[in-house]
Amino acid sequence: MKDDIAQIILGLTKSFKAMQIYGMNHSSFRHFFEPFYQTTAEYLKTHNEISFKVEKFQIVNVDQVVYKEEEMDMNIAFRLFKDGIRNISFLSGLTSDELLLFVDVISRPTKDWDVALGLWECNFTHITFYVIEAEEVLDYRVPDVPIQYVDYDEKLKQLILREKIDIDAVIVPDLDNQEVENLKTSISTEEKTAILPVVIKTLGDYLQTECSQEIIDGLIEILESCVNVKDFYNARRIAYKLKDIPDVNFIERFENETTIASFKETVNVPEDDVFNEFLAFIGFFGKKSIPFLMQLMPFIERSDRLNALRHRVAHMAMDDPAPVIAFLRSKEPGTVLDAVNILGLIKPTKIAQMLDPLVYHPNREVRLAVIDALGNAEEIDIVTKYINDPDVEVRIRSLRMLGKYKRPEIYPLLLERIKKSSFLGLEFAEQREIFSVLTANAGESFINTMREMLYKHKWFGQKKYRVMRRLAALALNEIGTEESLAVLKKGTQKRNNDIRLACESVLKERTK
Amino acid sequence: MNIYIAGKTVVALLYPLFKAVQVYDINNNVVISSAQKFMSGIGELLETFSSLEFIRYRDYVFFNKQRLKYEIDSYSNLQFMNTQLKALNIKSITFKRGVTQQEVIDFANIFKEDRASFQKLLGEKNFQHIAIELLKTEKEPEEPIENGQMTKRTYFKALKVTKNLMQNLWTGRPVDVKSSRRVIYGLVDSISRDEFGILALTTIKNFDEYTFNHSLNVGILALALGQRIGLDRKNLARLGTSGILHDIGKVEISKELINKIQKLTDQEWETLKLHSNYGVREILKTRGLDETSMFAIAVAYQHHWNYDGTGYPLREKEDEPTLFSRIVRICDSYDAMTTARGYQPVPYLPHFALRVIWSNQNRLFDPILAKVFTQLLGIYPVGSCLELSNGEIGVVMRQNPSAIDMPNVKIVVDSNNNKIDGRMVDLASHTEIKIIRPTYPQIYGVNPAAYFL
Repeated sequence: MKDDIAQIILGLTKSFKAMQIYGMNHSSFRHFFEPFYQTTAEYLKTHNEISFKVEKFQIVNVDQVVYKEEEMDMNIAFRLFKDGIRNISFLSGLTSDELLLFVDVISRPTKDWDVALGLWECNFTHITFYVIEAEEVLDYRVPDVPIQYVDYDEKLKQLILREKIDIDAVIVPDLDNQEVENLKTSISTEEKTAILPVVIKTLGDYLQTECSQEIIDGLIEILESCVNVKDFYNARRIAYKLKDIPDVNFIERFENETTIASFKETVNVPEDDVFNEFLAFIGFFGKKSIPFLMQLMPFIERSDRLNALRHRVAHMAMDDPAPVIAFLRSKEPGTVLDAVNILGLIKPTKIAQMLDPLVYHPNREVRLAVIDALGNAEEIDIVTKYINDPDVEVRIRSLRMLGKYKRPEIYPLLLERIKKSSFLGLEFAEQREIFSVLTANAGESFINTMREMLYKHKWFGQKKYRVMRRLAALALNEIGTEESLAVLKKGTQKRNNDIRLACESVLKERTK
Repeated sequence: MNIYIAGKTVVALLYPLFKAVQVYDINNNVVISSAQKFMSGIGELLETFSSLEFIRYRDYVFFNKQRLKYEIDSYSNLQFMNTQLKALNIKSITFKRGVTQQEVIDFANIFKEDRASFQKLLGEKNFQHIAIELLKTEKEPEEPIENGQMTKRTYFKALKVTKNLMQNLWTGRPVDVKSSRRVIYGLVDSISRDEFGILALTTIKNFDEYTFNHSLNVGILALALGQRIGLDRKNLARLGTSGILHDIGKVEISKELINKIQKLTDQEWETLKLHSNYGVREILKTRGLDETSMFAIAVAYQHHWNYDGTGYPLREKEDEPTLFSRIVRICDSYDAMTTARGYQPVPYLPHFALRVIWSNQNRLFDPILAKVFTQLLGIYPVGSCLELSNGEIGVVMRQNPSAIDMPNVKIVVDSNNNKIDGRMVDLASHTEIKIIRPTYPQIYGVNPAAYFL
């Protein structure tokens, strides 16, 4: 047994020194700590408890000095003794984490560190200790009770009357099972519910009574810690309470590159609630933060979230889009894309002028975004430039946009296009889109053009007419006027199979 | 499993067995099944602990030298165990390795008997693996002096620190937060060692320095109530701190107003009510914003919120007081009622203060907490002065957890109205002495607090 205790003390001494030199995460510390824990746990299996008496410079186990250290700074006994610890016991069931925490607490630099408080706060299950307070003269005196000459019986009667006390009421304070359960639920709910929201509410309510600097500072302190731990739910609540207080700039401290860059993980958290709270919180941010938020966008993995952040930034830049415009010159297509999208949401008056340099941007996505942005801002003129874009998707998108807004001047242009034999080399989707734009932009005269295309072999050689007839039928259906539908109905009675089939198929679709 | 949990488990297994033998024959399935459950529960524990020892000291039950606390979920079991051990004059029971189911059933069967039969049957049975030690005298063993001294030292140290804290705030001097933390931890340890011992010291009232004693007393009462409902040490420390700091906002209110004897004007009353708000600010100033402060802030602000939604400061409908605030609400009211102050020169008797709390459950106080509080303090709380049927006057020194309306009293005035340093009487054991009524100690020139020092 003596040897076992010596081994345990040796393990403690080595772990204590290693903790001071290397810290708890270093492998060298682990090298000493693991055997220390093993020896201790093994001993406790058979003995249930090891108890050490702490003296000023030494540790005693069952009247035997088991530890003594000459060097004061490294003396474990003195460290414990100076803070009033007089006994330490390790109990069976001791876990590695508990012992690790114990070594950590006793190894910390002694200045301003109270080992007893440190151990107490660890709330150990298998380590007990006994602490004495510094001996001091305390006044154990019972205060004098002032002598009064009163009619106590009368006082008692008055009290019973005043408080309406039923002196005969039987008091049975036993809790029934339901009450015990309710109490337990109440305690566990309380333990699960964080105190922070209560404090925020309290401080906020206080501010409604009095605008106290201490309370404001307190809320700002909580706000900082909320942002540090990415608790945007509470951060937002605090921001809401502080926003109307004059001369308090509580948000400026977060509007910097480092803080905003630290939100990289937040924007990709799995929980939508957390992201939404984050989004709501940055709603309190000012223009200053726009560049940093723009830099955050490339890290967002989900498109819906990216879109949400773009909307938020658009809202922030509504009065002055300059910080966003600056990003149009970025070399990163993704960033340019974000900037274009945001400008599309803001719809500034000179958007066409701003986006004009990007019409021939090498990145297809950027060009698509420009079309959308301009389309949303109803700046269609530049969009026309895209109908000859080398990329089919860009061309289709531009056509769609042109179809959305009536632009009669585009009619001859497109008509010319479909007359060219190269038209038949286009994908059907694009061909269809061109017809849709024509339908949208052309007047009544377009029905005649389509009728001609449906019934005759106009413009094309005989071999290609089937496709054209189908497109013409679709266009007539899309126009949907009495006159255009009459053309289609008439077509169903034609002897020519292609004409009849094209007309029947669109009318059938229409009936559905 | 740690000793405390193990102890609670064994008591929880014993209780149904003891109850079963009171109703059924020892061969009945209910008894056998209870015994089997007990055996399977203690099997593993006996490998770890080698023996399972219960000791009764005063009204506490210790398991392998660790005190089992009266908590709501173990209250009935422990109360029964304590009552029976006391009735049978047993000091300790030890279950040793090798104990058999039959031995356990036989033991349970004699445990239900009265003292004389129990002692006779115990001699006949001669249990091999269950050791029973009887108390040698009727008299309860004296409390080790060290324990009482430690409790006293903890109380007065806490009082000193509380006083310093408030005085420093009043005068704008820095506050020693480290000392207050140590004091709280000392109080938590003290409550966990012997809640009745430290609760007794809350009878110390100070007319001149009401706020200090009141703050500390509320902290202690809250800790005792918190322990009874099963809060862990960490939460007890938070609750104790919150209790002590609940009225700290009063440092911002003039002493003249706080000590005013005459009825307060409406405006003065409104000013006084602001102490709940100021408390928040003072805690922020003193302690900053650690987690414990946050709990204390909530309590300082909410401790005049009533259970039915009334009270001050005004609150929104959905605002509920925290558990700690509901606890402090009760303890604050109780201590305030039982303490003499300028405008209340004759305080409420503890028994009646408790009745006020009882009759105001659901309205002012959380009804379940009000019940537990009554259970904790007993019908005649420690420090109460009682007129007894034999003409003597006794001061309640200690509760009987097994009979909350029959406490242990110290006779301080004899039947001829002479002040005496009389004997201790356990009213649960001396049923021939009845309580006539609680009375004012001042009538007899007695200060109950003096008997606890």
